[in-house]
Amino acid sequence: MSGQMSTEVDLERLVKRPGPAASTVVAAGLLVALLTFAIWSLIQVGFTVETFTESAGKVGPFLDRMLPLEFPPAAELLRSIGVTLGVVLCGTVLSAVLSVPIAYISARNTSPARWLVPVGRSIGVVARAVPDVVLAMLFVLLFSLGSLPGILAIALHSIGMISKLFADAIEQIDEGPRHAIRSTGASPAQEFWSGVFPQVLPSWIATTLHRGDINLRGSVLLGYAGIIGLGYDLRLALESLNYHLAMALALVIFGLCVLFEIASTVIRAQLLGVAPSGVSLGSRLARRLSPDTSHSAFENQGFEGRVDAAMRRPWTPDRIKSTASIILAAVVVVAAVIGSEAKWLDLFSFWSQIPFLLDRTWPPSIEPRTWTNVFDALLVTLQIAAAATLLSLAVSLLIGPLAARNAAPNKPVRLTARLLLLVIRSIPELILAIVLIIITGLGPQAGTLALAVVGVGLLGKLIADSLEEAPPGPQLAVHSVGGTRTQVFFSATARLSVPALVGHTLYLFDSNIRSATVLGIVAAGGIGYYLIDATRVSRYDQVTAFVIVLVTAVVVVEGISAVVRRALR
Amino acid sequence: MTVSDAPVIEAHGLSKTFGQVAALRDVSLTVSPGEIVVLLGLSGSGKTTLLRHLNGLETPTDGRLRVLGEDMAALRGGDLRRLRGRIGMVFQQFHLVGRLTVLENVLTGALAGLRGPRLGIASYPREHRRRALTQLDRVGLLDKSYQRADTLSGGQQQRVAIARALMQQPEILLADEPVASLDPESSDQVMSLLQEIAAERQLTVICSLHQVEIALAWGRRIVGMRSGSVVLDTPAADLTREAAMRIYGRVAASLAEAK
Repeated sequence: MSGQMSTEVDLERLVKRPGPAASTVVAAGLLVALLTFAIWSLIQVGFTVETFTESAGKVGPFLDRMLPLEFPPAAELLRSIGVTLGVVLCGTVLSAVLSVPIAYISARNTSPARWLVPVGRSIGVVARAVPDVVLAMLFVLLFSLGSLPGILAIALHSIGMISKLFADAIEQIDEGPRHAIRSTGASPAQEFWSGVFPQVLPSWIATTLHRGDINLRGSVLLGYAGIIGLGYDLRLALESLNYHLAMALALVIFGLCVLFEIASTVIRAQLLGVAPSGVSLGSRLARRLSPDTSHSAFENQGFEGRVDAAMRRPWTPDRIKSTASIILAAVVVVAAVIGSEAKWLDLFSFWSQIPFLLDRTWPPSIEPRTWTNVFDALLVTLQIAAAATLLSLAVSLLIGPLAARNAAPNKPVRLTARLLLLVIRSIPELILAIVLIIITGLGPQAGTLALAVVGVGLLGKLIADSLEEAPPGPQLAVHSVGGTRTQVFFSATARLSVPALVGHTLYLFDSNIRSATVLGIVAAGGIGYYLIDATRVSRYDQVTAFVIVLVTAVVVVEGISAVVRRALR
Repeated sequence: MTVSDAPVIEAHGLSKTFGQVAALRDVSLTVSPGEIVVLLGLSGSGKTTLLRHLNGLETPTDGRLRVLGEDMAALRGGDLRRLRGRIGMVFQQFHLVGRLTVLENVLTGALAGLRGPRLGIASYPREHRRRALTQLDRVGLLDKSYQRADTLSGGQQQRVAIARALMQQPEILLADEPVASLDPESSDQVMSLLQEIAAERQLTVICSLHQVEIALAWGRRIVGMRSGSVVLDTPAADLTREAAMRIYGRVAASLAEAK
């Protein structure tokens, strides 16, 4: 026994723990700095327990003002729903298509030239940094009013997220098949479409659907840029202080978001190829219909006959399903193109308006505001974003694991947590902010709370997903040495997901900066308020200046995230 | 030696370094048409790197390499791709595109002769589809043609990968540890399939292996590699199991590689 002990001591002395790498130190320092900033922001924003209790008293009068709900006539409502869905779908699909070449040059492993990688990534960053509502306000100058500026705004802004996630997916592919296809003598384009694209297709569709969710929630705001649809109706109702109508519309938008979210979740689950293994009626049916591959369909025929028979692809359930999906997707896109009521022909005529737009937006100017004003406003925006992210993180760390298949204590808890996240995620932050502002009054607290709540929906889901995606091997290993569920979670599952957790939190911070800006429209304060104010008085030179400030801020934060994430990889 | 017997592969003093690590050191190798050569060695001995030079997936740091009469150093773009089209390659991890059907995976073997990108079986000419199905029938997997490649077992996937290589109508077949990820039974199937195909089409085959038994049973010529160098080049018939094991020099070699 003592001999064994001394061996252990010797071993420990023999193997010194290496010091941390420089990149790890930098990343840790940045994380601590961000955390400190977030805590300070929380205090600065004036977020205290009293704010909650004070506001609670105002809920009663608020309910009085909005009840009974007053819905618009059915035909009018349906048309608005159609336009809203059409604009969102057209914009998102257009964006997904435009994102393919940008992702191709942004991914380190497919980019034709090394210098194109930062170019592609920068296009994404800029697209992400400029809020779609700002783009819409600029495009409205170019087009006759209608929905086309909204579609283009969504399309250009969404390139930011879709091309980034798509490029990341391309960088994570299995390089083997690609090398195999290269070694058959395929050209780079053939290599991409045969070896890379099939691997990232599910991720591309999932990202696009996810972006569709976000765009539907964000579409409310497009009403403020004059884009017709539910958002526009809501804005008119709010401006005429008709809260009965406004809350009815808010409820419709909320319902649409929930339905869209459910549809996209179901489709994404299908795409990830979950095999029908359950005991439900659906899985049993699916198994029964699956082809029996134990015997050959082409045997008992001569060689020529066998190959001839094989030339006709059999209609297996899988093929029926994929063909039906393609047809359905095509129908939805066509319906969206028609439903959006966009004047597509304007796409050919707007070019002549561009000099006029340039003239209005260039050179940038912040007059009559001062740089001190601008930086104070930027700081408020950053504080709202940081405080909201911190609040979201704290709550998500509790709910996320409860929603993950491999961490939740049991199925009812998991399903409840998933449902909760789904409902939270479906709340358009703008509507939440409006409600909170009506309840609590103007100010950054309302904005922070709105972002924090919506952030839980996103971050909680991402945490749950990354826990579920943790490779099963190490978890199984801890399990098989006799680890309890809790031990498996802390020794394997959670450890494997830490880089993803940090990455997702930083992503939420990024996205909160943009949302905090946009919330300026409902007078939550910050740089967004300046931006919206400038468009209201048609000072587009100010818009340009503030957009440049905002893009710079977002780029700096993105740079910090990139450094941290690289160190954690 | 007649003209048609001109070597298909001539390597002189081939060296390759990745950063500080020397993966190949002064490798010289000549292979005549129709030869079946086994590269034998431990993992990390440079077999994969050597094979990847032969179809231009890697470029040497030093030395000269001619494949099928072409000077590899001078080949770029379209010319390099045309040469690759004449060389089939089979990998340890099969490297099929898992989400595509088996048939489409085999069809990708024909890309070198086609213009433009292809996506979906229907995007390939009918001619090619028939030929791909014929290859699948050859490897005994015709009935799996329309299944997703990742639903197949390892041995079946490797046979699909062989069908993909055959689709190229190659003159040389490179196989990089084709059975290292397979169970003994699938491993036997794959090795005999490679042997039959090589005989049927008089292919030149260069296959890397780390299992001495399979190498001795299968190859006509054994090239032993250690730490990036060729340490043995002899007809298989002249080599005893003991002599082959010595190439490994297990303990000594692994210590040397650790340094």
